[in-house]
Amino acid sequence: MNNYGPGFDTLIGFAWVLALLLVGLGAGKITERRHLRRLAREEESLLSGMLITDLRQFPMCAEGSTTEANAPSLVSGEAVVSSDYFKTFLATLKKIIGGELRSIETLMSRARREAVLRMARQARSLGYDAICNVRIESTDIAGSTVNPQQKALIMATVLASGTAYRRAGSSARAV
Amino acid sequence: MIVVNTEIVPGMRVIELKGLVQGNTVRAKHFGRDIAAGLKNIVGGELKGYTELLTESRRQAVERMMAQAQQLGANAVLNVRFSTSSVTSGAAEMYAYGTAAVVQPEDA
Repeated sequence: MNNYGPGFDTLIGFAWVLALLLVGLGAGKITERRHLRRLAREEESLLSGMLITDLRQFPMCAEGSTTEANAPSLVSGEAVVSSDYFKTFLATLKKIIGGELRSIETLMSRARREAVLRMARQARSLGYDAICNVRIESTDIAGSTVNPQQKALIMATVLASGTAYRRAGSSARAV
Repeated sequence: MIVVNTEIVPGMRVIELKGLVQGNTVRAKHFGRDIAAGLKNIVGGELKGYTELLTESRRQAVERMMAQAQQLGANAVLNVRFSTSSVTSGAAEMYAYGTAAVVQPEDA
């Protein structure tokens, strides 16, 4: 206890929250902008000339003999993106009146794009140029569904998987 | 071994089905990683530890599934599906399952 009275402690508490909010706002914005810029750049270089579908057939699959060596293969990608203090605060406020939680939406889409990108990168490095039967799902590492009482961290957890293969007329080689 | 999440492999014929094969794993990162994730929740960004956790879990589940298929004498696993469940905070269960099969090139 200090000798300034209980009002001072409350003030300190407020100052802490305010500081965390400012850090979250600043750092969160920078991280998000950097991430989005990197996603755009890598999507452009990696996804051009690559066919990604959730069709269960193999559209435009290369004809010819399939051997164990050039057979299609399972590829996958994962991404976990954390919320920042400011986003979490915004979401908590928005939950009072309800409606769209935009700050969390962008979080989910960033994680999803990252997971698909990693899957595509794996396919590319194995020498494939198409992925079919893509499945995208999410899971809960934070454990908020197991223990709702616990104050869980807000994070977007996305898993993507699909079957990579070679398209007709392409000359994709392992890089 | 050919592992795909489609029901067919183009250019190949299924000559024998060996039935369902599966692999599961429950993994966690050491608690330092959990604390780091808590701190990262202030500034935002990717939780690399948890991404790694998912990658490792997926690899291990698939490896176990493939080992089972191998034991049955299969050379392919078709229609692979992944399923996750939440066990406790900081841990993930990854479950992979599919149909083991013997395939051979159509022109053979």
